[in-house]
Amino acid sequence: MIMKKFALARILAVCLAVSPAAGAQQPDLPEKPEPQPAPASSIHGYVSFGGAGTDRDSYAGRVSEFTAAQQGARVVGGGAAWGNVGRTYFDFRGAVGGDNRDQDFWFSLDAHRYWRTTIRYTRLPHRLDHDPLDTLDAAKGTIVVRHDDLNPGDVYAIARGELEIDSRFTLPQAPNVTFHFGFRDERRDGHTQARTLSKCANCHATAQTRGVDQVTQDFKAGVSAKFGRLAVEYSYLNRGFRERAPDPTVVYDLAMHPATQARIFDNRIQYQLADGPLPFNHIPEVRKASHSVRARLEMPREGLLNLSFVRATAENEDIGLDVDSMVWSARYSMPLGKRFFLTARFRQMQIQGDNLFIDVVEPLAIAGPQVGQPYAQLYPTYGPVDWLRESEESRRPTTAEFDFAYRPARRTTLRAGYVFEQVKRDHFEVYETTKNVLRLNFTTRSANRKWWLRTKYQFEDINDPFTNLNAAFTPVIQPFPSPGSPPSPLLGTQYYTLYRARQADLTNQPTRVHSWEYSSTWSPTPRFSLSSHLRWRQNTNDNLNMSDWDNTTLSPGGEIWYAPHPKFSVMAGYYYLRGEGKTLFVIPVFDG
Amino acid sequence: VGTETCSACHAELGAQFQQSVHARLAEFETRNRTRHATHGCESCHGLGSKHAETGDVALIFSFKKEEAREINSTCLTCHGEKTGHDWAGSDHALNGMNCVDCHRIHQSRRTFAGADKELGVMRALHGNAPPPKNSLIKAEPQLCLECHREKTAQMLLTSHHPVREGKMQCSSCHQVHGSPERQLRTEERANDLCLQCHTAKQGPFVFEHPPVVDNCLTCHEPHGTIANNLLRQNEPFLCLQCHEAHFHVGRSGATGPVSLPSGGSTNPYGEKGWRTAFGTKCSECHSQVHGTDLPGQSVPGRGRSLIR
Repeated sequence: MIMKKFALARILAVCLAVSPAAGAQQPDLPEKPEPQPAPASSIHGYVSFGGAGTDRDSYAGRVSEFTAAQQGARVVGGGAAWGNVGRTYFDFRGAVGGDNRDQDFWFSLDAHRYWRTTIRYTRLPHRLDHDPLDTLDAAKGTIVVRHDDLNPGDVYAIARGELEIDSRFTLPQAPNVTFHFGFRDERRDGHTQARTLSKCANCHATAQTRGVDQVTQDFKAGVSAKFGRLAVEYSYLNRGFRERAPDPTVVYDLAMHPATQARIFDNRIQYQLADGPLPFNHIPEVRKASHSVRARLEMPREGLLNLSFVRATAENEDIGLDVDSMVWSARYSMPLGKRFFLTARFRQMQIQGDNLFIDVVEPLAIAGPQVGQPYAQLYPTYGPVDWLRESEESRRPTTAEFDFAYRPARRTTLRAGYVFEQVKRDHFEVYETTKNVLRLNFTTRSANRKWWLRTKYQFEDINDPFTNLNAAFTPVIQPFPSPGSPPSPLLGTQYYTLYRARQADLTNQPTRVHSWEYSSTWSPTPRFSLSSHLRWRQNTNDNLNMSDWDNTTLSPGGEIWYAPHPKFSVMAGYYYLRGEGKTLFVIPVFDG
Repeated sequence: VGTETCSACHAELGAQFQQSVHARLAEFETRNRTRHATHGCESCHGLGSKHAETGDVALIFSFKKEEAREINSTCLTCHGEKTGHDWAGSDHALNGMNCVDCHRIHQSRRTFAGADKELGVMRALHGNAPPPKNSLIKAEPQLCLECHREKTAQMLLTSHHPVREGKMQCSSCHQVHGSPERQLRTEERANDLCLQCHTAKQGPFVFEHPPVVDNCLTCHEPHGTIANNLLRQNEPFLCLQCHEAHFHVGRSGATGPVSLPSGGSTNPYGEKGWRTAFGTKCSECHSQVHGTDLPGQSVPGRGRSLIR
C-alpha cells in the first residue's frame, strides 16, 4: 500500500483580537480579603484553516485506522475563542478535519467560580477489517469446509462520537461543599462484519454486514466536602448501553452426515435449518450503577489516610444476569524524616456473579441407528447435558502493598516496593493465584529540565497463574496410534472422551517475570533533545505440568529532535522490537 | 505586600498570572485554606514583605528551589480533596514529582501557543490535537512521553489507541494524580476501565470466556502492538498458547478433486488445506470470543463454543 499525504499546508492563525489584551487592570489589593472588583470584559479568538489530502491505492485502514484519510483533498480548520464578561469566563476550542467523523470541540464556562462546566465533544473514524474468510475454502474435500461472505464488497468502519459534560457547583455560603454532575454520551455508528458458524453437515462460516448503532450514556452526580482534616467525596454513576441496530439473522445448515448425507446427527445439534432464520452476534443491553465513597484524613506527623469504598452492579438486561462488586481500599502515607517516605496500601474486592441453569435443547435423532434418541441417552457416560453456568467472574482479589522512597538529593529518588496480590476465584478451576512483586525505581532529573533519567526493575513471582487446565493432549496420550505402536484406547471414541483425556495445562501467563524499563532525555537547549529508552521483559513459566512457556520482549529505541525555527521542527527516531516466545502447540493426530 | 508590589519587580510573571485561573479565584475558595493570604501571589509564595524589602530570594517561598514535598503541600492546601485526593502514595508522588513538573501556574493562553511550537512531530502531523489544558506545561501525550519515552515506541506500532491522532490522551485511562487501582481512572479493576468505552463487552454473558472476565490484559496490550486489535500476538498463536488446535490441522488428505459451490473441482491448497483452514484465524469461526448470550450449535458442546 502506498499512501501519500500532500498539501499539508496549514494556513495559520488569523488572530482576531476582538478586544484589548486581557491583562485587565487590577485594583489595589487590600490587606484583608474583600470582594475583588470584576475585571474588565474581554474576548479573544482566532481561526485557522488549511488543506490536507490523501492519495492511496488500497484499503486505508492498514495505515490510518483512526484518521479521516479519505481519497482526495479536504479543507481542515480550527478556531478558539476565550475571554470573560465580568467574572464569567469562557474558553472554546474547536477543530475539524474535513470529514464529519473528525471533530474536536471543547468549551469551558466559569461563572463567578460558583458554577463551572466543561463540555467536550470528539468524533473519530475507526476503520474495521473485512475478513474475506477465503482461507476456509482451503480444506474442501470429502468433508467440506466452506464460507459465505454475503457482502463481499462492503467496507467496514464506524464513527465514534463522545460528548462529555462535567459541572461543579459550590455555594459561597458553604465553600467546603462542592456538588458535581456529569453526563457522557458515547455513540458508535456504522457497519461491521458479523460471523457465525454452522457445524453440520460441514463447517460453514457465514459472514454478513451488521449495522452498528450503539449508545452508552453515563449520568454522574456527587458531592465532595472538607471538614477540617477530613475530606470526603461521594459519587454515583448510572450507565446504560444499548445496541439499537437489529441483530443479523442466518438460517443454519441442515444437520447431516458430511459424507453419506444421512440425517443421523439431528440429536447433536441444538438448532438447524428447520428452525428458520435465527439471530446471531447479539449484543445485550447493559446497565451499570455504582456508588463510590472516598475519604482523606490528615493524620499526625504529616501522615495521610485514604479510604475508599465502591459498590457496583452490572446487569445484562436482556437475560437478567447481574454481577455485583464491592471494593474496599485503604492507603496510609507518611514521611519518615526529611528524606524517607513510606506508603502502605490494602485493597480487597469481592465480585459475585449470578449463576444460571442452562437447559440445552436436546432434539431426537430422526434417522440411523440412533433414531428417537437424544444425545445424552445414546451416550450415558457423557452425563447430563444441561448444566449450571457458574459465573467465572466471581472472585475475591486482595492486594497489600508497601512502598519505600528515599530521596538522597533533590529531584533524585530511589524507591523499593513490595506487592502481594491474591485472587480467589469461586468457580474457575484455578481457584487461587498469588503474586509477589518486588520493584526498584530510580529517578533523577536536573532542576532546569536539561536532562532526566528514569529506570525501573521489577520482579514478579506468581503461584498458579491463570491457566487452562487439561487443555491439550500430550505425546503420552495419543488418540491415534503412531506407526508400529499398539492401538490407542481412544480410537473410535466420542469427542468428549478425547477431551476428557487431555492432561496438559496451557497458559500465556508467567510464574516468574523480570522486567526493566529505562528512559532518558538530554535537552541542552529548548530546541534540541536526544532521548533513549529500553523496555525488556522476560516472562517464564516452568511450572506447567507438561511443558514450559516463556516470552521475552526487548525494545530499545532513541529519538533526536531539533527545532531550528519555532515553527519548524524535525524528529528522527529508531525503534527496535524483538519478541521471542516458547509454548507447547498441540495438534492431536486424529481422524475425526 | 499585595500582588502589585510583586509585579513591580516580576512584571512578566504578574501579567501572566492575571490571565491564569488562579487570578480568578473567589474569596470563598481560599478562605481558611491558604497559609498567608487569600488572594494573589502571597497565597502560594507566602508573605513577601521581607523579600520585597531586601530582594533576598531566600526570604520567599520559591517553587523552583523547594523540595517536592513542600511544593506539593502548598498546592494540596486547596487541591487536596479533589484533584489531589489520592496524590499521596501515588507513583508520581513517590518518584519525587512535584506539581510544577507538569503544571505551570503563571502561564496564560498565549504561552500555550509558545509551548505548542516546541511539541514534537506527532503534533505537527495532527494539528487538531487538543491544546494544553489544566495549566499543563505541554499538551498530552508529549508531556507524559518526555519521561515515559519507552511508551512512544509502543504507541507508534500499527495497532494502537488513537492517542497519536489526538483523539485520546494518556489521562483518558491514567489518573496521574493517583488512584486506588494502579494509576488508572477506575476505583475497580482494570477491566472496568476498559469497559467504560468498550461497554458492548461488559456482559455478563451467559457463555463466558474465562480470560475475558479474568483480565483484558491477558490478550490485549493497550499501549500498542504489531498484531491487530491490540492483541499481544497474532491469531492463531495467541489462542494456541492456551488451547490445542483442532485435530483437523493434522489431517493431510483432501488433495483430490472436489465439488465446490463455486464450481471448481480441485482443491487449490493441496494437502496444506486443512492447516490453512483450521490454523489461520480462530475467530473466523469462534467470533464471539468476548462472550455471548446465544449458544453454539453442538449439544455435547453444551453451547459453549462462542460461535454465535
